Amino acid sequence: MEDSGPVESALAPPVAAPRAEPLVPTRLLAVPAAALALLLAAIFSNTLWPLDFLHVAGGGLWTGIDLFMGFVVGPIMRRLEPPVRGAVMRRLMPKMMVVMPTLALTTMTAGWQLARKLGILDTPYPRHWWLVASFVIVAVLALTAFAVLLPANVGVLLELRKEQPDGQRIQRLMSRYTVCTAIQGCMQIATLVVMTRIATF
Amino acid sequence: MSFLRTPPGTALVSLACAAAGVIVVASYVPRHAPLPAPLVLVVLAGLFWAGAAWRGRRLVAGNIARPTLIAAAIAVAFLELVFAYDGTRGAPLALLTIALVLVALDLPLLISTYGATL
Repeated sequence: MEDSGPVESALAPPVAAPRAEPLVPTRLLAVPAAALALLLAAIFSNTLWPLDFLHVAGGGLWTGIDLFMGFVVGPIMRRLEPPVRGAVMRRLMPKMMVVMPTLALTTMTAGWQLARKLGILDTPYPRHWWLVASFVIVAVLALTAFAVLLPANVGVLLELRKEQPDGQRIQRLMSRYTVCTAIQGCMQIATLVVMTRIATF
Repeated sequence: MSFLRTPPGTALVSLACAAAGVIVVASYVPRHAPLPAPLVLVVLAGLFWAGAAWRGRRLVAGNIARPTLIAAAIAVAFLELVFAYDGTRGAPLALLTIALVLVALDLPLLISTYGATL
């Protein structure tokens, strides 16, 4: 934005400073709050069903949304006109920033508790390697999500809030985003392989 | 490789070391894990975090770092709760706690300095 001169500044009517809105609307935080309350209840209930429900439902949604975003929405977004893509991202990103970490945390925590209660963690080697593989896959998923996808989301959102967003910067951020969603998709397929193997021990 | 030399890149390396430390300890549960390897990983994670925090101290965007720190602290508290609730005690729990605290510190540093390095 160009600086106006002192005369123009003096003549201009007083304008309220734009309110800095949070990146994620506060009302959206009810979703993780409810999910985490359910998770706490499931952990302390010491019963298998709620843990199984949260692990399967959370994992299914996490995997499904990741694959859908990586292989369906991603390629469509790349073909959209920049203003349309910006409009979609502005509405989609805040929701993704809330939903995906919540699903990841719920799935991991419930899954760990479930494995502990079912005695799967006591599985001897070489089968135990399947469990170690699942930990590594979750770590890669979490690292790519928190280290690249989330910062790219935040970066794109901040850029889109500017009066004149830098298209090239958004493009750079989105190219990292695209590579990472592909990695996430592959890891999610690996998760499906490992989880179905562990479930049939 | 150039990304790994930036403050968020160093924080990412720290995060990876801390996560690896947690994985090593978790892969032995319910037995006690041998601690030297995870200890080395956690010490490395701490050193990388300190390096990233020092180099990125002027790049941190407070409006992003604060909410991220709160969210990361909540997530890490859940993981800590689960390990403690399941009977992990003593040195493995202490190591897990330090690794998880580093994860909670790495995430806001990484996310809040990421934009400044592009």
